[in-house]
This record gives sequence, structure tokens and C-alpha cells, in this order.
Amino acid sequence: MASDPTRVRWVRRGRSHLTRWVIVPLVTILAASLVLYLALSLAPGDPVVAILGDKATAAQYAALRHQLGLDQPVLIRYVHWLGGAVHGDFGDSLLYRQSVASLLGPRIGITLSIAFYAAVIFVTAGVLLGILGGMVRRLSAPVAAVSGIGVAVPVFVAIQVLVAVFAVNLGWFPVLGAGDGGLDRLHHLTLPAITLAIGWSAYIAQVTRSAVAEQRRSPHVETARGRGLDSAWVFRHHILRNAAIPIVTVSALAVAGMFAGAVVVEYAFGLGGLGSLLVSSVGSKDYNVVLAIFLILLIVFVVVTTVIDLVQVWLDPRLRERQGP
Amino acid sequence: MTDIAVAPRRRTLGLGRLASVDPIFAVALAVIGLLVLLAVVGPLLCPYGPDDVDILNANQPPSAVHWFGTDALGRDVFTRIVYGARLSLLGPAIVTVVATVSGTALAITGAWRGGLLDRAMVRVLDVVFAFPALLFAVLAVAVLGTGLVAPTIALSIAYIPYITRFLRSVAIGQRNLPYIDSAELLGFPSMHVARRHLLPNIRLFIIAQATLTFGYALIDLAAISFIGLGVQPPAAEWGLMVGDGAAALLNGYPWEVAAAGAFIVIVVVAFNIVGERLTALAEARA
Repeated sequence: MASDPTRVRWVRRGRSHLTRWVIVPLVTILAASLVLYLALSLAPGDPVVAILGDKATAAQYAALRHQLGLDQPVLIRYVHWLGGAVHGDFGDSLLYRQSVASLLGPRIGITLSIAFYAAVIFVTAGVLLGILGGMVRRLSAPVAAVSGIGVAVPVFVAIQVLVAVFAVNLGWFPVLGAGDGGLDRLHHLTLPAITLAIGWSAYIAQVTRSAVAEQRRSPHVETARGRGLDSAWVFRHHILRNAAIPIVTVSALAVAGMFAGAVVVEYAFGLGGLGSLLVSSVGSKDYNVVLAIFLILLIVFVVVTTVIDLVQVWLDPRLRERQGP
Repeated sequence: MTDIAVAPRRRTLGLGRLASVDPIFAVALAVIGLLVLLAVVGPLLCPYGPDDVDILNANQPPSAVHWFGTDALGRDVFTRIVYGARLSLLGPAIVTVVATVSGTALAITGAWRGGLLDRAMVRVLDVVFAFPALLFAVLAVAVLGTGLVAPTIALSIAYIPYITRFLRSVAIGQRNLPYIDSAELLGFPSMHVARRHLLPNIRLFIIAQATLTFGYALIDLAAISFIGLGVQPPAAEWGLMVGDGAAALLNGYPWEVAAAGAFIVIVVVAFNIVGERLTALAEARA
């Protein structure tokens, strides 16, 4: 049976797909989490002193050190930490004196709300603007100029400008807080989501514009048009179908990259999400919290890059035989 | 034995000619030049010190005495912008040099050696690439403490993949051109070919990437200072000033935020324009 060539090819392909989309991502997460743990274990400051203060006896320090497992080698501690993390146990926060998991729970929702809200805005605005710039010759230069400035405006500058205009002068939106759920939450998160989306909208508009313009000039589109196909059909099936590959890729990268911007936005708007907790925990050296948030972000990035790879293959079957990106 | 010039060697980059036909490029280049001048000799022009507090004249609008107004402590905003230019540009300059040199070396090595080394390199770079540089800098601050050092080190590493990916594809493209083949057929060692033949031919791409990197690094370093993990007050730094002026802005005094924000945006736009034009020029010549 093994001599059947189709079967051999199928088995080999099955194995390479498993490697590419399951094993490599898992190994990446493991390796990166080890680097993360080792890096943070080098950070100065002793959690035992942080908990007991500097007035305790040597025996008390030693007892707590043993209780927390800090007298173990760092690799053993890593395995323990990872084992707990798999079950959602990230240890206790030194500052808040409660489990990290209970700290993260309510905050994840806020971060995901902003991220989702912003993603809806930047995909819609970026792709629409880019298509207009790529398809309508008169709009090409204006779209290029606006998106060129848009990518250069840092999130924290955009925050101040929008707060000054829409919150202070016009009073349309609140400046601080995440609101109480429902419409109030939406109202509170609108300004943060818009500021988060500006840079990425501009970037996606740039990519979409150049991808659409490139496809529009390409021989296969001219052929399709020359054969008298309906221009809406040509746009949907010849231009957009091919331009979609870079657009989807940068949109997905934007979703991952947005979590960096979310840190700044949550900090500036005083939203109690993962980002602002990360900033305050780094400041107060609350390393269990820092570790947990970075592990979550790490997993998000690996999952997003893996999904990008899958979607690219789905959009462009030519990539199917490639051995990883 | 002398080198055999198989590809045309240009002594200059021809930027002057590009500037003469492209006014936007010329303006962007001039902005960068003025800025460097400002950072170097600017403090000589300032009648105030960056930390001269004058609480009676807090939150003044721009005037002949205070060109950009004053902040909530009455410090002269123009003076702080000028002094801040040094810290705000120093970090990105270090990041750009370190990341560009390492990225170029990795890209050429990967493109030349190929094989397992190259594939492993691309794989690792892909993972680092997906992780936002800003979060990398936050992690470094968690390990090394607040200040300019930790984020500068982190960004120097975090930007290497961007540069390597791009230059690697440029180098692979050049590899297949006749001048490289000729040099290798003549029996030159591959490092010699890479250094004497490849490097001069891709230098415009390298400079373009470095220019773009500077702009991104400036934004990320300023963001780190903005969230309070980078340069600490009372030092003058543009990102810190944008954060520092937030309270005054809510009270209707936007001067500090406006000046620092405008400088960041103008500088980054200038670097982006120069970087993009140089990339286009390099692609047109290649």
C-alpha cells in the first residue's frame, strides 16, 4: 500500500500541515514563554521582601521563599508556572493580594471590546478608502496624502487631538472610564477605539490602494475588460480577489499589532483593561501579572500569525505546497 | 589585483538631483537637516533653561516672549522642545544604527549561505516580527527598569526583523544578476563579493530602510515615555511632554501638547517621505 504514490503524497502532506499549523505554533509558544520567564526572572527585586517588608527575620524569609517555591532552580519554577498557567492559575498578584486570574477576568472584556470596536473601524475605513484611492484616479493622490499623514500620527498624539476636539470643546464623548455596559460602554469606548484605529486605517488604506491599483493595471484585468466583462464583475472577481491577499494579511497583522496601541490608549483614557494593568504592573514590579499578560499576548500573536498563514493559503492555493512561510 | 567593475559604481547617491526635481523630498530633507541643527546648537538660542519654573506665568499662550507658550509650571515650551530634541532623537538614532547594521549583516548572510541557516533565521524573525516592538520595549522595562536604556535596547532588537526581511529579498534579487555571477566565477571569496560588490549596490535600500526605521523608533520611544515607562520627569522629551500636558489640555491650555505633538508628527512625516522616496529611487535603479 505504501507504494501507492497518491497515498504517500497524502500522508506526507498531512504531516507537513500538522507541523506547519499545529506543532510549529505550539513549539513557538513554548520557546517564547521560556524566554519570557527567564527574562523576567532576571528582573531585580525580591518578591519575598516585597511581601514581608524588610523587618522580618531570616527564618521568615526562608519559609516564605520555600512556600512560594523560590528556592527551586529557575527551570523547575518555569515548569510549575507553565503547568499552572495551562489551568488558568497564574499565581497571586503581589500588589493586589489576589489571584492574577481574578484580576485579569474582568479586564480582558474591556480590552477585547476596544480591540473589536477598533478592528471594525479600521477594516471598514481602511479598505473603503484604499479601494477609492486605487480605483478612482482623481482620489489616488488625496488618499495617499491623508494615509501618509495618518500612519505618521502616533496613537498618543491622536488621543490628545481627539480629546481636545470631541471631549473638551464639543463635549460629545467622556474623557475617562469605560462606562457601565451596554450603550454607555459603547459611548465611552468610541473615542478610544477611533484613536486606536486611525494609524491602522491609514496603513490598510495604503496597502489596499497600492494592491488595487497594481491589479487594475495588470494584464489579466485588462484581458478581462477587453473581453467585455461587466466592470463590477471584473472588480469583484479579478481585482479584489487578488488584492485581497495583502489586504487580509495586513489586517490580521493590524489586529495583533493593535494590542500594543491598546496599552497606550487604555493608559491615556484610564480604561481598566489588560494594557493599563500591564503598565501599572511593570511600574510596581508585580511580575506575576506581567508574566500572565505577556503570555496571553504571546498566544494571541502566534494564533494570529498561524491564521494569517492559513487564510493566505486559502486565498492563494499556489502557496499550498510551500514548506512554511 | 584590482577589482573588476562589472556593475556601474556610483560615487554619490544622487540625492541632490532627486531633491531638485522633487520639492516634497527637498522639504523633507531640509526639515531633517534643520532638526539636527536644532538639537546640536538650539540650546544656545534659548534665553531660558529647560527646568526654569515660573509659576506666575503658567499656561501662557504663544507670544514674543514665549514662542510656543509655557507649560503648567511656567516652563518655556520652546526651550523644552529644543532641549527635548536631543533625548527624543538620540534614542531613535541608536536604534537605527544598531538595527540597520545587524539587519544588513543577517540579510546578506542569510541570502548568501541559504539552506537550513537561512530557513531557521526566517522562522525566528517571523515570530519576532509579529510581536509589536512597543510591547517588546515594555517587557525590557519590566526587566531593566524605567528610562531610555531598556526601550532603546529592546527596539534595537525588535526592528532587526523588519530590516532583515526587506534587505534579504533585495540581496536574493541581486544574487541572480550577472555581476555577482561574474565576480564569483573570477574566484573571489563570497564575503569579498558581498562586501565589495553587493553592498555598494544595495546601499540605497539600506539607507532607505534606516530612514524609515528612525521614524518608527521615534514614535515607539515617545510612546514609552508617554505611558511613564521611559524618560522620567522633569527631563524634557517630546513623548513625555505630550503626556505631561494632558491635564493642562483638559483645562483649555493646549500649548505644550500641541508643540510636542506637532514636532513628533512633522519629524516622522519627514523621515517617512525621505524613506519612501529613497526606496522608490533604489527600486527604479535596481
